[in-house]
Amino acid sequence: MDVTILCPDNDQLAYKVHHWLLKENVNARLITQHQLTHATSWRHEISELGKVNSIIILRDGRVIDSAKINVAFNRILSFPMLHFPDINNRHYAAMEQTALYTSFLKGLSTTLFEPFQTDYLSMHQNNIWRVYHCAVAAGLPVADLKYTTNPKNYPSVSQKVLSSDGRQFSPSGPLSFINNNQPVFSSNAFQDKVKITIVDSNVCDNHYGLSSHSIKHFSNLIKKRFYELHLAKINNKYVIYNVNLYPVNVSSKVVKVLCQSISTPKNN
Amino acid sequence: MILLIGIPSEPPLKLAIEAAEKLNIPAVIFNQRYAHTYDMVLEYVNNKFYGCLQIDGKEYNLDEFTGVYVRMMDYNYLPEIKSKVFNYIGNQKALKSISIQQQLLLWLDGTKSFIANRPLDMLSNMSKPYQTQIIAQSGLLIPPTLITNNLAQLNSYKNTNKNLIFKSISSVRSIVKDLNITYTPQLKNLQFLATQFQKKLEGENIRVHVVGNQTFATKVLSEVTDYRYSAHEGKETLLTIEQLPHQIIKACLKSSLLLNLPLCGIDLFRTPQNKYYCFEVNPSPAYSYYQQNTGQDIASALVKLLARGNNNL
Repeated sequence: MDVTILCPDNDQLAYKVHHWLLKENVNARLITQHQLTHATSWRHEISELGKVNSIIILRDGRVIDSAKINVAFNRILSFPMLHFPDINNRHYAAMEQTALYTSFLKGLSTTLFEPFQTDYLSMHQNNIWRVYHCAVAAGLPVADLKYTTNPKNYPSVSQKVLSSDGRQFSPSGPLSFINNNQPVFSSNAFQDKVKITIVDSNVCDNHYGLSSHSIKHFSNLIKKRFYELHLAKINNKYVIYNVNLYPVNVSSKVVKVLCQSISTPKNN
Repeated sequence: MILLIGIPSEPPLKLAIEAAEKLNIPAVIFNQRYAHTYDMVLEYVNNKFYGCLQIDGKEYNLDEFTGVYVRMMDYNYLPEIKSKVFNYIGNQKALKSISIQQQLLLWLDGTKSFIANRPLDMLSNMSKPYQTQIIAQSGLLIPPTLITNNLAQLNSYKNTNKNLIFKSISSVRSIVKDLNITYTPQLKNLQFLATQFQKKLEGENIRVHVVGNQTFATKVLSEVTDYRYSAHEGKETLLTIEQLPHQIIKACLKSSLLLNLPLCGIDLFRTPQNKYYCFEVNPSPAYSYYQQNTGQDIASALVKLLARGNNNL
């Protein structure tokens, strides 16, 4: 089993995964965003029938041949292209490089640890409403959440003093913030917050009362194999108030479970 | 009732509004330029969702719209929001306008209502080669493509594919150009950013608009490589209604389904050998240009589709 880890330059989780796999004698290689950006050669070819072949030669001489990748664990979300000094050129280059990378990942679909989605590289994946819709559809409880452009709709939410950027997180809950002296988001007040990490629909620690079946359903709906659920205790029951689709700070136990999942052929 | 989002004077939305009026289909217009005068509520209470829009003093439950047409422009470029332009509405109202439009986009992505098209699904066009890999699954051919930052790779590809064109990889609009000797000095910059090259095909352009399970095909006759810019080069473009073979219509419908774009503009190219290639699928087509030149009533098909909503599925 060969594992290719594609990650941002400072992704601690990716380095831990790489280290663990090597320790377990798995043939793993780690390739950073910087190395991909400055590769000596990108050759991404698509035939008229849609067959894709990518060969990337890195500056250190390593070759990434898409046809020879067994498992790819991708953590890269964007390409900042900082070597373009002009901001307009940099923005254009970032769009182009990201578009190329998106196509490269699509070509790896069958070997990617997590399935590819159109929102893969966009802000849309952090859509709290979609997360809530999926959670409720899967039978998981969610914290109350309210958005309004008119404070009259929620007279019980008090006005807060603005911060300089026009926003201020309220102490009443992590999803409450004040925009332009108008409350636009509010949620239940809660104190007891925990996070649980999911790998392949399995909860790595305590379930906090959430059903395993519902978590599995939720994982399928959001098409993720590795993520964190953020829970808060409200009325003596844990409910979801957020999801982190790209966990970074996880325990060594989670790293181990994740690595076992990545390197197990039947899982990929 | 249907919801039409965008700028009402912009031709595709304008035609949709007129078609809804003509067909007596009740329609609510979300004018992006007046978004700061609207109000919106989205909430989850006791695991139940509720959303409503307040426009011109009337309240609309979001779940009651059978279908939504999304023809939104980037709100950052609205004259009401971009500071220091003639229509700037001030910081407070601009923030409200941005907030409501952001949340509307997020609602569109999450709702079960019938949307043409969901912002999330429109993202497939952010990477043309990504999108073409999906299009190929529908049975349409795609132009042989090479994306590279390496001159030697390009030269080798050029030897086998002869004439090439180049264009952007992402959704950033670029004028398609022939790779000829004029660009030789610029190729030294290829090492800094990979570029997309495609085999230049000989034949004619056909634009197919898919609206649900209906198709409207238009043949485009133009002397220039990128007909969208023929006026820039002082050339004319002639648009005529085209009949396509059944299997090509089927492939276009399948592309629309695979990309989850019930309204789309498919750029086809037919070679003298009668082979059909697809360049890309536009997720927010300016269909009005084709409707106004051929008389195909795409707008009516669109509003009827929205009125049927999820019954289309």
